[in-house]
Amino acid sequence: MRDDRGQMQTIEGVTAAFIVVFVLVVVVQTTSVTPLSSSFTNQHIKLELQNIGNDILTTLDDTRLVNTTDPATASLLKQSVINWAIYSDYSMFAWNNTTYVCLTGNSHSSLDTPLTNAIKFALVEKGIAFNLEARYPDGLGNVRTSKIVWNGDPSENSVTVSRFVVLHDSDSEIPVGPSYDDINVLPDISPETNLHNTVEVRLTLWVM
Amino acid sequence: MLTSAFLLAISLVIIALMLNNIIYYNNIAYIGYMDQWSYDDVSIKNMIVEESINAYKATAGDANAYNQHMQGFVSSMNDVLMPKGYYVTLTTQQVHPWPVSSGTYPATDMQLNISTRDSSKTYSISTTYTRQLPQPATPTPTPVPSPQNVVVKMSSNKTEMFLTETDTALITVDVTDQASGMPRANVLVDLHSNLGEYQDAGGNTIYRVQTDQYGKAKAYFYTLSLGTHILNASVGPNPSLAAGNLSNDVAIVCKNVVMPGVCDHDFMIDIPSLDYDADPKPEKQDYLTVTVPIHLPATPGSYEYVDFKATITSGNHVNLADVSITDISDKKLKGSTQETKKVSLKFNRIDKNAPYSATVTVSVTVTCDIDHRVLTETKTYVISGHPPVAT
Repeated sequence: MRDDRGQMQTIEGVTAAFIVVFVLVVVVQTTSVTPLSSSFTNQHIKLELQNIGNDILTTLDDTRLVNTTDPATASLLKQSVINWAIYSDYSMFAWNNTTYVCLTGNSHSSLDTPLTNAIKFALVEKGIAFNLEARYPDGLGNVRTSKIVWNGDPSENSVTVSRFVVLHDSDSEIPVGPSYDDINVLPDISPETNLHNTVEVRLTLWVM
Repeated sequence: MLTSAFLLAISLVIIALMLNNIIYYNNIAYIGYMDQWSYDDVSIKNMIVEESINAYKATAGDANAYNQHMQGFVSSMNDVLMPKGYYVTLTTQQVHPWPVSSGTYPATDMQLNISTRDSSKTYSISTTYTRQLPQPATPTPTPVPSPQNVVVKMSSNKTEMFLTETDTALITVDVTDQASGMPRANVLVDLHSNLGEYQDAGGNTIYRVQTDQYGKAKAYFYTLSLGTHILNASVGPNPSLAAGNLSNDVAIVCKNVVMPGVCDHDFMIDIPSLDYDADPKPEKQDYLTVTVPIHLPATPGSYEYVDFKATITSGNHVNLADVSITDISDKKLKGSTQETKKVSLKFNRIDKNAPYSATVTVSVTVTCDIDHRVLTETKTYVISGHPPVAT
């Protein structure tokens, strides 16, 4: 083996080893080896958050304020929007680990609605961050968003769930909201009927 | 050996691709589970059904009014839905006549179509309406009301008010049943306070409010008296309730309005003084120093000036050259104390025997600490001569 064949076999061996090592490196870097890799875990958590959020909104929307099937009786979700409008003057709140504190000029003591109470029970104690918003048409073809509870910008892996409620002029005299760009918050978009406005209640959830 | 290495490498690549595909499809499956569409679909259907019954009731079965109501509703709903990729059309097929007797009757028949970006669903929706007419009166024994207890709670949106004609506090009263804890509607509640008065939304004085269907009532508290106001409420004269149950006390402190001071534009840039520094040696140059006093007189009030800056610049030099400039700045000046600041500029005489001249500009900038207004003043002087004389 002390001739040219020995040299060739050595070179061949080194090349073969290089090819195997190179392919191993490439394969290890491109393969998500375990099912607990970050993308898989995030998808799972997002699915859980979406289920929790939809459960909260669906349960409150399907539960009426008093035990009746009369659709004229407000659901707890609808009542939450009404309470925010009437008793909190459309103010924006934040959760300070103890209570909801008002962030706008009106110094309301707290935000007391069935929805925010349910969120406190279902999300806060589990360490899930959340934002709560109301989207509604302004009657001019635009859709506007008002923040009800704002705890900061959500993370990239946040999930937003929503539920629609309809407000009527007879719903405990929904007050005229503050004006932005000459448009009131939750304006009466159908003055000739008792329809007041349509609201999409949006709940954004994310894990800190 | 090389062939084996190639075969092993290809095998590793194939295995890696298979694993990646498995994980990819698992993740895609999760994204499929996370489709919000099914929730929105149910929510839209519920809304349509409830609004249809509400419109039927509100319009007493009048088909034209009903259609107008529902068209406005669907239009507003589409405003909210279209950004999410949904579009709803609602076709009313029949509006049944308004029932004339008690019972449950068919109300409306509709066809609801919900279109998304890549699919469309159509639902046939029929609603019913239950009408309950008052029963004919039958002689019944006179009911003996048994007093029931309720719990009255009062809260306010503020604990401090200012003594102005426009400042009010929003007072909210909650009435709940003592036994069940449920809200009590239509309960008259008397409002009390040691000072001040309650008003409704129109500014009219009120002494009593009635709870709405959610057991809540609101009023506005208004006062022109200084000091601590104690507010509470009690159950009023309701036929079936034990009157007099008193709520918790709410304390609101009314304070005087603190009028902010006003920073006047009261500082003054004085005329410059010139100091000629002649050197007896002809080969040495003479110097001319221009000093400009800035007076800040004492002013009433407790306000302060902040970010005081005074600068001095020169131009149009004739037989003069800048040597040094002394600007001044101060972060905080007491407005109540008289002060004089000085800025100065030192020139070099180029030719001792020739006349000289220059313009000197003094600028003062100061910010009022109360209203954050920036106050400025600028003055320009011409200095000239031989020997120097201020003009």
